[in-house]
Amino acid sequence: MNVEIGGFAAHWRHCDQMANYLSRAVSLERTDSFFYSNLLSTVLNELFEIVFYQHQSAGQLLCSILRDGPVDRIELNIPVGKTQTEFYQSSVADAQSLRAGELYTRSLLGEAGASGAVGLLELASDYGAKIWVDSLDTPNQLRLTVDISLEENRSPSV
Amino acid sequence: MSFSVRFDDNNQEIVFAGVMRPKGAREIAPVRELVEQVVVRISGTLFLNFKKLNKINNVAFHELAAILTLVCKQQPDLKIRIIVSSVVGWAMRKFKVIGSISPNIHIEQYDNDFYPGQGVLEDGGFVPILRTQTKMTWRHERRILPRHGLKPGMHVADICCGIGDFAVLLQKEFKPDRLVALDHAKASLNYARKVAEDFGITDIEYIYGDASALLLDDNQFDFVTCRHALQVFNKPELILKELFRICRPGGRVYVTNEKNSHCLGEPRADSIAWTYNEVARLWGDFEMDIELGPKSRRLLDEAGFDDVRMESFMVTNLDGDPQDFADIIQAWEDVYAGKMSAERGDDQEFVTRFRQGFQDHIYAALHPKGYAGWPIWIASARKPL
Repeated sequence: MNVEIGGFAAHWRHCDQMANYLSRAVSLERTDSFFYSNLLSTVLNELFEIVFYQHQSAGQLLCSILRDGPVDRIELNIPVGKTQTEFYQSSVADAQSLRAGELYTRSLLGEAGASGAVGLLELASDYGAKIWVDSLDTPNQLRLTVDISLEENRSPSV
Repeated sequence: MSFSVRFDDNNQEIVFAGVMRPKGAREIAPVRELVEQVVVRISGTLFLNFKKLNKINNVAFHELAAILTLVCKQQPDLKIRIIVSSVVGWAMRKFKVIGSISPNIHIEQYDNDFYPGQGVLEDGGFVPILRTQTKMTWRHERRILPRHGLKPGMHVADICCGIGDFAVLLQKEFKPDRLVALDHAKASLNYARKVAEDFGITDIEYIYGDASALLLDDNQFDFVTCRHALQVFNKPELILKELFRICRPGGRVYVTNEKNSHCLGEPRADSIAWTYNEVARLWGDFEMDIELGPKSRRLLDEAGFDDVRMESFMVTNLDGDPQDFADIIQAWEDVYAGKMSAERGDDQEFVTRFRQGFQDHIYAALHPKGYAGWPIWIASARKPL
């Protein structure tokens, strides 16, 4: 899915709508289409909510979903400036650190609002996602990649 | 974002439903207001029911955690039980963080305990019974279904699909444009997927879900089936409410149920009749109603449907191979006079007589001049436009 970043960021509800649309579109042949699309929508929505705040004002937002066996790869090409690049690099470093779980809990339960990158922390600590950023050849574009296994992520028992 | 939150005084329970993905905490202010109103006038345990909360973002979750942190500080004696659904994949992993706020917060995953009798049936080896039952009832239902409005090209949901064989037959015979088959038993669903795979059918969406708290959208199916399932639940009206919700206005809901005390056979009619009357009592002791069939009209009417159509048919030993009929009865005996009877604590004298009625039914079914029957009630109704 490829959208103008300005159009995307015009309304908060676009995060929810795009997450639901994409998750339904790619879920039909899954073992349990509802279970999978609900989880994928959760993941995509958190990513889109991050992008909603962290992007440059012009450019294209591209979202690709690829599948390799049990692993789903979500790639987001995001228009960014220097500030946003630093945000993504630093947030991904936190999410891939050993402290991700602790940071996630602190962010959710802290008195300040949830951290802007709480979604990345959640994906890393609760879903075991591998997350990284790449610079692209296109100027002012960054690729955020999330590798995650949702069909294996059945809800654990108490 | 569309969500609802309401307090059920009877159960001291706040029920959340829908989607909570706000941009800011202010958008879910009704949650904070309701919790604050409720906690000052209750004691003991507050239940927070998230079974029907389909989606939540971290903004809402952070606000929820803040509300509960405050409640735990202000009401240190109050216990909080959070109920989440195993159907929603994110729920348990997400809510476990909230459990770390206070030892007074307990999180539990909703499961089969809600249906008191069904665990006994599922543990009792009902899969082979279901397979044979569907084979025998399909001979009748394939002709009956069109009279209740089923046509090719419809969007169909089979709720409580069990092992999914009815959905496969429906797919082959009626070619729906969309077919969702849902059940809350994972073992049954796995079997269902295997059956579909064996038949090379890829168009059925098998979904894990709870029939009394469906997460499917409103008004999306032309035809909703729910076979032999209302009789297994102790609160069939909760399921009918959900069937009504997912059916589109003008669409129809189709249910089948039994009245087991009307099973019959000749010869040895008296022994057979006695046993099936006892089956009805046994199911009642497990909070299930195997006599529900003729009550379907009232239940559909009270659920808000109109244009109720009802009919019944009799599966008999003359439908195909009498041995199939006998196999069903034997499976019933194994479960009813076996595990269920033992669990109820029946004495040996009762069990012996109880089993004899099933054996007499089998005798009638296999006798060259015998007749054995198992009646089914079908009811369908329209969701008003």
